[in-house]
Amino acid sequence: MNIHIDHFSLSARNAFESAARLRKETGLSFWTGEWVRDISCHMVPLGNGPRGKDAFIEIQCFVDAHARRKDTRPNYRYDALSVDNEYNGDYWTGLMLGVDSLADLEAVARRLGGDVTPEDSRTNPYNHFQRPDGYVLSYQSAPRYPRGRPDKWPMDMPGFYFYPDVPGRSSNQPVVASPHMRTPAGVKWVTFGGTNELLSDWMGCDAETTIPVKFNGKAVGVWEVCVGMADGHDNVIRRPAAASVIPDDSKYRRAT
Amino acid sequence: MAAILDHIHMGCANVYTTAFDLTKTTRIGHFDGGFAGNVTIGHKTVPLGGSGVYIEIESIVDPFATADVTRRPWWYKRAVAAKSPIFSGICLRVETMDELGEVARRHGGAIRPTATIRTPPEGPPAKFWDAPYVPGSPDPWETGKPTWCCWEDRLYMHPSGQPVINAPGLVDPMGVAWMEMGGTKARMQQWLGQNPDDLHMKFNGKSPGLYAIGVATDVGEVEIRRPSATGV
Amino acid sequence: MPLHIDHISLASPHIFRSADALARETGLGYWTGEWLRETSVNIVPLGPPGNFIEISGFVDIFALRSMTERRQWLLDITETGDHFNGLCLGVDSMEELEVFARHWKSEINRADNPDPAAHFQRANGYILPMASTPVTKRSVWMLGLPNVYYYPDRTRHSSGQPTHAIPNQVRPTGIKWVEVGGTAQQMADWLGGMHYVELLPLKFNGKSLGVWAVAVGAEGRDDIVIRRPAASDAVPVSRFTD
Repeated sequence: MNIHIDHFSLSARNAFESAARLRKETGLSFWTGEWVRDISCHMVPLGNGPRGKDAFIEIQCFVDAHARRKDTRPNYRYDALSVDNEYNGDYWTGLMLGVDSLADLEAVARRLGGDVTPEDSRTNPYNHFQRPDGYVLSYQSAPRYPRGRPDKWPMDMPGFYFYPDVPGRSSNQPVVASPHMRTPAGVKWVTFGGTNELLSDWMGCDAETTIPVKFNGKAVGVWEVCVGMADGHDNVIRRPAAASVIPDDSKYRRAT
Repeated sequence: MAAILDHIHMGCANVYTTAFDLTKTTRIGHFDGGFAGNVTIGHKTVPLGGSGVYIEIESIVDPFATADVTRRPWWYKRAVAAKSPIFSGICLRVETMDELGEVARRHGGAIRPTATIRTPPEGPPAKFWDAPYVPGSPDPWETGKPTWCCWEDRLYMHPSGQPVINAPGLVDPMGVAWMEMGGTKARMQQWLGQNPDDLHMKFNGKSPGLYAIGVATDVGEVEIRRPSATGV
Repeated sequence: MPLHIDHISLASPHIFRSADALARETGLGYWTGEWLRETSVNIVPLGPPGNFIEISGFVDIFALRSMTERRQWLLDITETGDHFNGLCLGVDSMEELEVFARHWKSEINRADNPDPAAHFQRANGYILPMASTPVTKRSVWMLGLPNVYYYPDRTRHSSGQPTHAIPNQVRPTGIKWVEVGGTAQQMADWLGGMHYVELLPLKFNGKSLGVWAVAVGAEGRDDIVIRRPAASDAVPVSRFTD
């Protein structure tokens, strides 16, 4: 099974401000307009993945204030972002891995005791990323836990994704032209919390030799992403992992 | 009210390579401006910032037009002969059609009866009126003299404000700092009806026309030098 | 141009869902990415001589932890969906803007405020210089009344920027009319003369103040009429007339 880094989720209080700040920091530009349910994403392509599967960062923010206020259930992302930090409330909220086939995704789901999300992009577009041009991003992910995530697994263990339409992936769309943009050349390494043992157990293979990851023993989640740049001056994007500010995640473990 | 710089025409043999090379050397971006003429002329636009200025790069893109001598614009022939893109003209902007009419009359002509239209791939056409137009007389640009235009109420879609290609490492242009002209200040003032200092013109005493511009950018000034309409 | 309509604000509970719905309803394209503090606007160009609808909504819900009257108003008027919440007029010079500022005995929000956070920013980094009047503790939009804008750089006006390509897109050819509440006299009293009202393509329906509908011409099809309730329908202006 070919497991690779697919994308990162960077949650922000204001994705517009966060993306502009990230571009000033790194030269990495983005495109806008993609949304799903009550969140909108600024997509930051990171370049140079195998077979056109470039990784990307989705900078997410809530855009439906009413939905958020009405939903009284504990919300992991909202609570993490509520904690101030030196990055204006930005937190890494996901490392997402990719597989090359639906069969591989189903195997992952079985091994982890969960389901695969349905491919209902045509019948239920609201549950999928949509773009202004009408394109609905078709993808499936695993594991989905209908009865809530098992206690064994921390909240921010990576999700697995399969995209049938590789050219349509968010990493392959043109970014907004901005002065002094720089060309990304792929993810060089990721610092992840926890240990290689934990992540390898989750991935079903040795994490360190499968993806370019190293571990800092801190709260599980992304801490740093090193993006190679075509001009040779690599970027290390540092934000705290969301789990680092959530002392007890038990109240968030509900059906997904 | 004094006219301000609107656009600079760069005539060439190949609009694609010229735009590509200009962006590569200056790091100033461009976008596809579409076509003009009877779909015979291709157009790339290079926004220069400032008070809304751009370079329009044009060449013939229709091979049948290239083959027909009578359909080759003078600037195309000059660029081919010079083996280089040329600065073929300067166009200044006035705010109202009344002002454009006054300019036309001062030069013994009229506003050109047909508007100049560029049709981009996706959007509505970019359209302006220009002057002076004197039937039977050569284009003032051919003798190195600026002309004038008016966008009426279409400034909101002026080419200088449109997004450029998303190439890496582009600079942010901030207007034309100076223009190096042939001829003399006195002759230019006579033609313009205003002080050439308003337009940051300096004069090299060569044959009339535009020879070089300095573009202010967020990382310093960029000089663009090309043969003029009448000389090198 | 003398006094003219510049843009119309449509307050939305979810700017992407609203823009998508409007696009499906009308074929009008929009562009994304412009923001100011805790809100973002999706811009719907309406054609010559340069008008647009800005679909506006919160994109930083954490800002609502510090509730203000204005933020509460925006939440209240979008509780039940999209509402037109601003009629924005335009002039072509600071001198003309100053005439309105003097009429309203007010100041001008200056276009050259050096703080970028005070201006709309676009995804490409462009900071939009924009002057407006009146400057009031409570926005006149909350009273269903228009304000006036001047753009020193009209070449990058929001109405002229390219949209995303949307399915079944049509090309707009300009505002035909705008239906507003109240009467022509009420508008004249606000603006300082009936001669201003006569410059604007307004129809008055006698309902509560604010915009109720916009009619836009489009190539190859009948005029598009975009009808949404005025903000004053959701939150009466009487709440703010203390």
